[in-house]
Amino acid sequence: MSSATFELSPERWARIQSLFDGVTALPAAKREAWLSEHCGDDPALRDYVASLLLADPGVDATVEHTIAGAARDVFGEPGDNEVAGETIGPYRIERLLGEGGMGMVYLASRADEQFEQQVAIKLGRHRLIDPQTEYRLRHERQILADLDHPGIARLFDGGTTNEGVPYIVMEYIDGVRIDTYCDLHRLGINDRLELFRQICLAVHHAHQNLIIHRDIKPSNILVTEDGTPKLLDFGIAKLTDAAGAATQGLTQEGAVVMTPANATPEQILGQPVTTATDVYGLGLLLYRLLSGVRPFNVDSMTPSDIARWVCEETLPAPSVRLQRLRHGPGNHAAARARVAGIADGRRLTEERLVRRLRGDLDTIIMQALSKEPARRYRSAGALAEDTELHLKSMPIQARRDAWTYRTAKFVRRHYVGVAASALIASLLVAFSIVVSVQNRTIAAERDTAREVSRFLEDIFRARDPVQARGANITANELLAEGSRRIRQELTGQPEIQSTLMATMGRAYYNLGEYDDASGLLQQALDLGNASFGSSHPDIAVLQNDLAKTLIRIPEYARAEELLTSALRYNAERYGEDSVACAENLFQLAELHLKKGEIAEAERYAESSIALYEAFRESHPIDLAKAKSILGRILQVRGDLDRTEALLLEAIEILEREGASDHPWMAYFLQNLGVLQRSRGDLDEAEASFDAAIEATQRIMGRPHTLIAATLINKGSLLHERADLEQAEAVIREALAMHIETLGPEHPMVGYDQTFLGMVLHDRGDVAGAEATLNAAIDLYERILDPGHQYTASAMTELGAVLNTRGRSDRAVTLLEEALAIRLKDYPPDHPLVAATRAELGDAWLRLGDHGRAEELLTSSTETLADTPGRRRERARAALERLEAALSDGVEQR
Amino acid sequence: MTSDSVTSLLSRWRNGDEKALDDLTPLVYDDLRRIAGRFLRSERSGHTLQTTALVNEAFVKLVGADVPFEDRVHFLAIAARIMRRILTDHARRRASRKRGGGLRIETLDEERVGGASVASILDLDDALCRLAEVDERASDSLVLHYFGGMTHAEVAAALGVSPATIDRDLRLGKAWLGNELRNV
Repeated sequence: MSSATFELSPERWARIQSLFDGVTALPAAKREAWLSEHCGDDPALRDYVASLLLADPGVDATVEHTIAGAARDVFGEPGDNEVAGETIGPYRIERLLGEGGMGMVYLASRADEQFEQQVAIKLGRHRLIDPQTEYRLRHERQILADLDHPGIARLFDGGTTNEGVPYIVMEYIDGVRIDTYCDLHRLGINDRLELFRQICLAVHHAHQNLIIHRDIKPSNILVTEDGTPKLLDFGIAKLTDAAGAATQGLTQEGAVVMTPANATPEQILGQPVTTATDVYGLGLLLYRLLSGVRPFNVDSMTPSDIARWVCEETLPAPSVRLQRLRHGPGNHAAARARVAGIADGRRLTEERLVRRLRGDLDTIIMQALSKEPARRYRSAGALAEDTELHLKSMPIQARRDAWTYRTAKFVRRHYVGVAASALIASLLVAFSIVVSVQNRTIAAERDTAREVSRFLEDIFRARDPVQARGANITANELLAEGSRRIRQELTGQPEIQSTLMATMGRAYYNLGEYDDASGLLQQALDLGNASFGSSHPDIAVLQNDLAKTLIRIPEYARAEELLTSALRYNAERYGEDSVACAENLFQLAELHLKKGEIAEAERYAESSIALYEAFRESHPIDLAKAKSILGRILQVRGDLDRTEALLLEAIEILEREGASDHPWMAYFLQNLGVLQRSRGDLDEAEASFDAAIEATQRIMGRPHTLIAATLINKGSLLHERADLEQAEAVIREALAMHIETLGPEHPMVGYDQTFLGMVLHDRGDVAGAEATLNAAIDLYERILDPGHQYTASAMTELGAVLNTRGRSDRAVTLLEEALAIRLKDYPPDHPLVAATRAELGDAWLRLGDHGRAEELLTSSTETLADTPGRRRERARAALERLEAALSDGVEQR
Repeated sequence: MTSDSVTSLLSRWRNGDEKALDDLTPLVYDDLRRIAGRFLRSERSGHTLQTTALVNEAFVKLVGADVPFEDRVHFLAIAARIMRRILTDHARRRASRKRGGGLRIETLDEERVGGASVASILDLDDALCRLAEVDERASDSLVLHYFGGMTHAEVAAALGVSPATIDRDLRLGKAWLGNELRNV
């Protein structure tokens, strides 16, 4: 509510005064009702008084600030030098150099030193009261003092005066403002570009030391007599902001310090200041050095106009701006004269200046002035590079970068639409990694990210039908080409090589190519250790991803070692309740589940879920998959109700997040099918499996281990339905796919063989069954730890076959061993234990030991009573045979 | 000019002689300016220019410390109003110079001050004038308080009303001013 829309009169004001007095005498809670009651007939009046109640409590500070500022303008114009001879700390002031946005600047010399050194001293405007702020300022000053570059004025010292006013002592640069320098010497465009390039390199150096200037403008850059540009006030804006905010309790000081016309969109919008802020400042500087004007006319604008121009309006390129000045409406003659003067100052005609700017220079400047920080040059160094390329008449990078950016953006926007092939599914992951790295501010990481992004761009180009000459390039071919180029072309750049190898490794992982994935990730880790150092956070990420791949291969011991190390690192760096730990815990759950260590798996899964729950908003998919793994663990334990609840939650999270095309959807559907099947809902289960197979092919391509896994589940279901012929076909398909994707020496191959053996046994192909099961057990003995549950399964099946073949003597040995393994991880009343016991009972029955047979068969039949399927039928049949044998025995007696 | 003459000018003005104010103004102005210059350059003030301190120091110099409370508040009130005029006149002249310059299409000069959240002295002056149209005393109270650094009691004595009245004037006046300046 503004008075502009509320007419005041003395009568009305008197009314307002009485209402205001009345309402301010009341507690806050009663005010609104009181006001409504007393101005019921006049809602505008009520709103107006209410707006007065909300008036800025900082009005005193605002008014005093305004008056003090005006008083400075009137009284404070530097003239006579009464300050000479006064001291600030150990420095003796010689004269006033000028007044900056942050305070007065004096030339001073160290009073009590043997050699005399001239310095510039900047004195703050405000007194510091808070010792914590002073401590922080001292810390910041220390960082700045370490910044050593010929293009940057050194910060020597700093402190607070006896009255608590902070000051900074800097290298005194005897030079001229860069714009004045350029104009004085009538420097041509190339000379100006060369000066600018040197400034970029100085800024880049500071960025590499994680220092941001935040206020790059001509008055902060002096050129010395020998033509060296020197940046002043590096990082000072932050110091003074901190001091101002701390002393005033207001952010107002920041607004005073920041010249609005020099502000970046993110500064105006109150978003984080990053190295990209300085890139913008450099762009604005180059704009002014080359064209002689700002992108828009500041003089006639209010601060809010300026803010709108900076944040919203499309700024005209320098050549366009000059053309408009020459031909635009308004003060023609004066404007033309101005442009002619600018051109003359660059030893060019007006037309030639405009032409010189058009093209590369427009592009370079406008790229640096992008509204979105991420669209600007990735670093001041890159800006220097493009300036140099232009000076050498070589093609600049700016245009390419715009293309890369658009591509990445497109892929992100059209996630579902584009995700039609395995290629896209895997490169999407790669891109999302690039993008997240790009968001970090550290220059080196951004450089790496951009290299990765360029590389992927090349891969995308290969998909262009023109370049690929119509050949149907597969994802694997692209990745193979990519890995080859990383190894060959980037040998001198280990950091980029590491990041790219990791990216490719993850892509291979997503394609189910675990050997290639682990090879690349291992190399990425080795290179990373060598170049980033083992304490870099990316190392823990690489360890986690490599472990994830090793679990699939499987190399459990190495995977566990890596995960433990990553978890320890993340817990130390980010805290035990960090999201980074949640991922490690999840992989540990996966690892122990795969190893058959159910209790440990459950413990890790619970911890992982607990952490992810706290990050539900930002990590919904991770939460979903953590819930799903706990579901799988509980399923092994037989807790099917909780399993189903967890799975449905996981699927719901994905659907709610619009992530139905996420690879995990395929997993969850498959697991839901498994669950439905184990509960006896065979039709639903078959539908879930078919949906899972369809989704997997759509999202990840074929062949894929996940398709094989789903086929196995479907085969198992068909087997249960006694559709043996189809079951055998489906399982053989799964086996072939597993061998194709995982190689012959993989537990999944043994798993499929076990299953196939079971089906062959039921189809009456006893010899075929025995051969297949022996192959599975041989494989397991080669590649698994002794006592694995998979081995127990295969032994149980082989025991059954041996019983059928009349070799129950051998069956007993096998089945005893299998039972011991089962009881290691499962309770005695678990169906898997019961299945082995039933087969062992049958063996004893066949060997004539009815006592042992009875004990084993009775208890296992009871346990299996609730587990529909072949196992229960076999146990029942054996029990019936036992009973028949027993009754025969009674009759014979 | 001696402190005697300042005192007599004050008393003439208090007795209704408008010309006495005109004679006082340059005296006060000169002194305010001289004191301000020293303040700005002295380390101890930390370069925070407090018009309040200026006015007080000018008072001590021009009138002397040992004067009746009544003279003191009247001098402070005059100095406060003069201060307001000095500051706004200067700003207005500068603004018109800028506008009248005409040929300035662009400048490479840095804008010295100008944050979106800081009101200009002209905005402040403008708001005080608008307030004076509906409540002259409230407007005057704000001027004395802010430009002269006067306490509520001093403002009350200078304006010849009770401190409670000034409390009310200033409370509403500040709320109103806060609103106006925020909406600039």
